[in-house]
Amino acid sequence: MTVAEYNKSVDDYSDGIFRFILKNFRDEEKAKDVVQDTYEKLWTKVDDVAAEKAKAYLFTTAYHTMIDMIRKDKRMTLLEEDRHDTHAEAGAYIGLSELLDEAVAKLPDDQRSVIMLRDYEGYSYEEIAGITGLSASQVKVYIFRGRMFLKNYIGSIEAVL
Amino acid sequence: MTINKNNYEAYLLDYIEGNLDPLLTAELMAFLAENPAYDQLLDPTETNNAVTGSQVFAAKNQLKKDLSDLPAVTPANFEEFCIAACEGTLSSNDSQRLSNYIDNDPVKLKTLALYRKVRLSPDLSVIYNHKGILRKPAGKTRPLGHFYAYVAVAASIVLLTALWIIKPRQEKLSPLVTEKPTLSVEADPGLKSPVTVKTAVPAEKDVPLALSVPVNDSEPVVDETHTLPRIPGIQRILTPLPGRIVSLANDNPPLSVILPDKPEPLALLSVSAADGSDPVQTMNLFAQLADKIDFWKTAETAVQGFNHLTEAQVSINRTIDDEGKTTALLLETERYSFSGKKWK
Repeated sequence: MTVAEYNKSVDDYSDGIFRFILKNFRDEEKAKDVVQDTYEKLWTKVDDVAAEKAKAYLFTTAYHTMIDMIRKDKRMTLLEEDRHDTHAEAGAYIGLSELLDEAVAKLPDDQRSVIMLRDYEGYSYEEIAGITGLSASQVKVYIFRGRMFLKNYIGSIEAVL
Repeated sequence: MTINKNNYEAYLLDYIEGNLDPLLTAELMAFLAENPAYDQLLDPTETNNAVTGSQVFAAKNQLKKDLSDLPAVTPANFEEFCIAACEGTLSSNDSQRLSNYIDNDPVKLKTLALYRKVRLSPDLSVIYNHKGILRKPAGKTRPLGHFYAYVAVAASIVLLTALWIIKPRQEKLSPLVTEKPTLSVEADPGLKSPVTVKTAVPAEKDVPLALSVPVNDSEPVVDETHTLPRIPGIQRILTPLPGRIVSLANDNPPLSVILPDKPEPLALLSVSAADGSDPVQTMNLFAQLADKIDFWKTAETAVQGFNHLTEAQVSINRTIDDEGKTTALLLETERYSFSGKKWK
């Protein structure tokens, strides 16, 4: 890809990658680091990556960078759970968007990632499989389980409300 | 049938170990089918041992099913239909089957509605505000591939190492010589034309004399039975005397070389002059050249050039002692740091 195509990929995809990572991490600084690291890796391979493959490359790289960081920082996950438990126990009214945020945060990493790639970016099962390294069948299973969890979560809260 | 309840165990063991031929295997399976009680002895985990883990079933995709293969929408698969409907992967026929199953049942409708709600949508107000640092100017040097970067780093390290090795030579002259030789010839009061060598440089081994420079315009004779340390400026040594004096072959009077007090043989250089060159002169030329070259500046320039070509951030630093001599080197990249102290 050319420098112009590289810069276009910055304009086109950096927001999406940032949102995708931020939703998983809930840590803006880390999400920024992942975006920057991802584009640095793309830049080192700018001669090898075709422009039409740039988005897949970026999301794949960002996803694996994020997974590596999650594995290194399990403590963060525990803090997330504590925070969301507190929110739910408070019983205060929250909208569907906030409710979904809570539910998404409680999903296992794999399920959350595939659902976000599906909903945020509209990737097909096969494309998500390529990004995550899972099989297409596994992706379908994770999406099925994730959707069921989300539906049960908001269904149970709505019943209480 | 050869297999019966009295001998089946032997066949069963052969089968488990993978040693039973296909004909007997078929017979064993038939026997187990007729006698289900014995079939329980066949541990499925053990029978799998005969099959290696690397084997795959190539036609697995043909075995896979879709929702359309299900005969009907049931309570057991209803949610799977709902999810597929929300995913947009349901065929029109299956959509109709789902619709028929729901049949305006409020509970089922709510379930479907809940699944429609769990579609995520990105918050477009969240944007990455630092695109500027990611963009590259059009004329920016394109990065070299990893291979070239590694080669360039390796070349820089080799260059620095080479400079590091070469640099001490102008001070030490040779790994075998521990101090800079100072040779002078002066008159010995007891002799008419004496030669006094003021040097104490141990040599690795003695070097046969093969010089052609006359000493004090005399033409000495060599005692070929002796192999002596080579001493520049002295043409030939006749007889090494015990103690400190070596006489040169000079008829009248003989010249003398006063050896140092140390018992080591004398030598200025450990290299041979068999090629006819004067090692002392070569050494001096090198020393003069080395004095004119600032090796550290050269290394810094090389690293700057490397950084410019590769957009790397390699840096070199050194520690200098009171005499201005380098005592330690530090090579840093964005991720790695190499340091070393000067080997004394």
